[in-house]
Amino acid sequence: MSTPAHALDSYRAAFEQRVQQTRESAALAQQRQQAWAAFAATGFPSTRDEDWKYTNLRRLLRRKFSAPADNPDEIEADALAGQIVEMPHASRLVFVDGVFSPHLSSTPSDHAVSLATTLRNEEQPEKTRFDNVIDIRQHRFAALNTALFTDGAVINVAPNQKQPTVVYLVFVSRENGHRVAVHPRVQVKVGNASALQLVEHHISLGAADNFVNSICEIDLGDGARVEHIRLQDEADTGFSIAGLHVRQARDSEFVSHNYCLGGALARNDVVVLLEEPGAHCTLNGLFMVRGSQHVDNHVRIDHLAMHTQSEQNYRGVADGRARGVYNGKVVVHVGADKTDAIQSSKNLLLSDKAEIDTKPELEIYADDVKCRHGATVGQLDADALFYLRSRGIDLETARALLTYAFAEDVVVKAGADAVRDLLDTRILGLLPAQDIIREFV
Amino acid sequence: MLKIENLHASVDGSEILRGLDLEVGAGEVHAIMGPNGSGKSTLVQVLAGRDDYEVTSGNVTYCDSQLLDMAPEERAREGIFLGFQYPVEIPGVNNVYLLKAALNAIRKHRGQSELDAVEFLGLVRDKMKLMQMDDSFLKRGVNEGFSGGEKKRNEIFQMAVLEPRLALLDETDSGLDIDALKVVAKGVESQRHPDRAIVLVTHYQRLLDYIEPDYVHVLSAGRIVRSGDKSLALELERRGYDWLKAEAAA
Repeated sequence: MSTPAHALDSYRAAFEQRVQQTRESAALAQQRQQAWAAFAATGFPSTRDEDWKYTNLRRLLRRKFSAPADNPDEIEADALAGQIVEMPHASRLVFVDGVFSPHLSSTPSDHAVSLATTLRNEEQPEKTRFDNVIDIRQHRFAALNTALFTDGAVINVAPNQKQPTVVYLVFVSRENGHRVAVHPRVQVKVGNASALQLVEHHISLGAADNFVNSICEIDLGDGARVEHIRLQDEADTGFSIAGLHVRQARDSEFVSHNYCLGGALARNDVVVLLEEPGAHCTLNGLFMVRGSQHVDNHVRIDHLAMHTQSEQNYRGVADGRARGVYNGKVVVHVGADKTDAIQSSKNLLLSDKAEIDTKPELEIYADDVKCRHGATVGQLDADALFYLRSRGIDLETARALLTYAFAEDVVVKAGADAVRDLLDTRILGLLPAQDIIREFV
Repeated sequence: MLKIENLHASVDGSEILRGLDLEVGAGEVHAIMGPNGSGKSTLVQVLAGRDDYEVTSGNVTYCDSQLLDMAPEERAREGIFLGFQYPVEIPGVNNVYLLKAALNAIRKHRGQSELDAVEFLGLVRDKMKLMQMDDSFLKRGVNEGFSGGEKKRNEIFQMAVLEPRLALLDETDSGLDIDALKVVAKGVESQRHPDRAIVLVTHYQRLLDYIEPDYVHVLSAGRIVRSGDKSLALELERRGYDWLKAEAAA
């Protein structure tokens, strides 16, 4: 066991409370037991684990978190104004410190419901299966989530829907008198030939320093299409651990946009299984960190069938003493011939105390494949800076402009206008001379 | 307008300019010629404020100011324009918004009102016609995906809009076919003005068939070794640079 036993105490207590007080199905109770056992066997990862070598969890483990109240104080919708986006055709589900808030959410729909509601409904639990896509022995925070989740969203899109379904999930982390640990769970199933756009938006009210351990599990049917946009824009005091686990059937398409701006410590795992021929995924990512923020992106794509494609385009910007990590691993399994995989990681260091570690990896066990990867870590282009200055643009504005243009390359890829606009505003807000740069948008 | 005295500049410890003197007056067109590696590009980059070069001694006055004390953006706002030999591609930064910001930075510096988008577009349309540029130039990123000729035309277009007092054009003719060269030369010619000085850096006499210089200088090993009128350029065309190098060494 790599974690000292006492560090697990509060989580064990939460787990024991969980299994005692709820009337969940026997199947789910058993899954929770298995997940807890998997987690407790090794505890939290340490930097001796290859997948965690750049991310020390000391800051997280030093803190004590309690469970959130079942019925938290209501917050007014006005409190979220400016922080969340309007998505007219979306079902909106808002969670405050992990608990579904009906009055902040849109009218309930059939295809997107709160997980807590589902768990209370005696017929539903048998239909909702967890960890179909996730290997909980590999992903310990996912195991912890399965053991402890209380709420989140269940999204089911029926097959052959002509119109795409749009769901907007907002997770609000509040500054409380005491820190809380929440484990939101999003369980998604998209039927054959249907489409879903899912926006997962994490924000804070005040200098929230909670621990948000979220898992999103997505299962795509034949020819299904999912665009997942995750915008992690919490206060830079929070702890955000996120897992996105995806399984793709034949000819399905998955597109992820992973924008990470907030958190004292943020970790994003994106895991995609391309299980059947014709499945393809595009994973875009952007992190922008400053101060003493730490963000770690781990991507793993398994090509398990012929004619599967994957593309990764991750960009990182680090200022101050911040640290960013990108680790992207593509595994082409035996028999996955005609695989086409591209990995690109481009990174910008804005200060000499910032650090970015990037590591694209390829493991290939098939013969006839096309795989390319590239990674760069650099400063702003001196030639471009001089060119702008020679046109009368001052140094600070020129730097901000080039940083913005660098980030924007990933922002423009998101398929939701409202999210792009919000991101633009947020990114501009992180840069000096934003009024001048705004002209260039 | 511009007075350069005994200018020495080096890059990474090796000296490129070795005691260069030059005076340029308003309304004049100067051509600076010379073999590769003689310091032509270094000279204009130093004048525009590129900090890769270290000025080790010498003095440059520009309109009664100490030029070398000014940041590149201050020089631009004071009316210095550098037409780049290799204009930089900057994806994500819009070509025409950059130009508008550049023009407004200069206008603000001069105490003039800033132009809004409509006024600005009205101004640039004519200049675009002059440089035979279509509307797609307005929408693209700075030099993004431009051909060599388009990049050079874009430089002269910027110059025409910004109306500098001192234009430094670094090998504006290199890499151009004859038709593009004519367009660029016509653009430069149209900018001749009694209040404006133009310094053309070129390796070949060809450009000077279209833009007639008032003065021609030959740069060799970091110094001006010969100055004359346009006939000097023709002599260089005939005899090459070697005889001057030999004379300078003697």
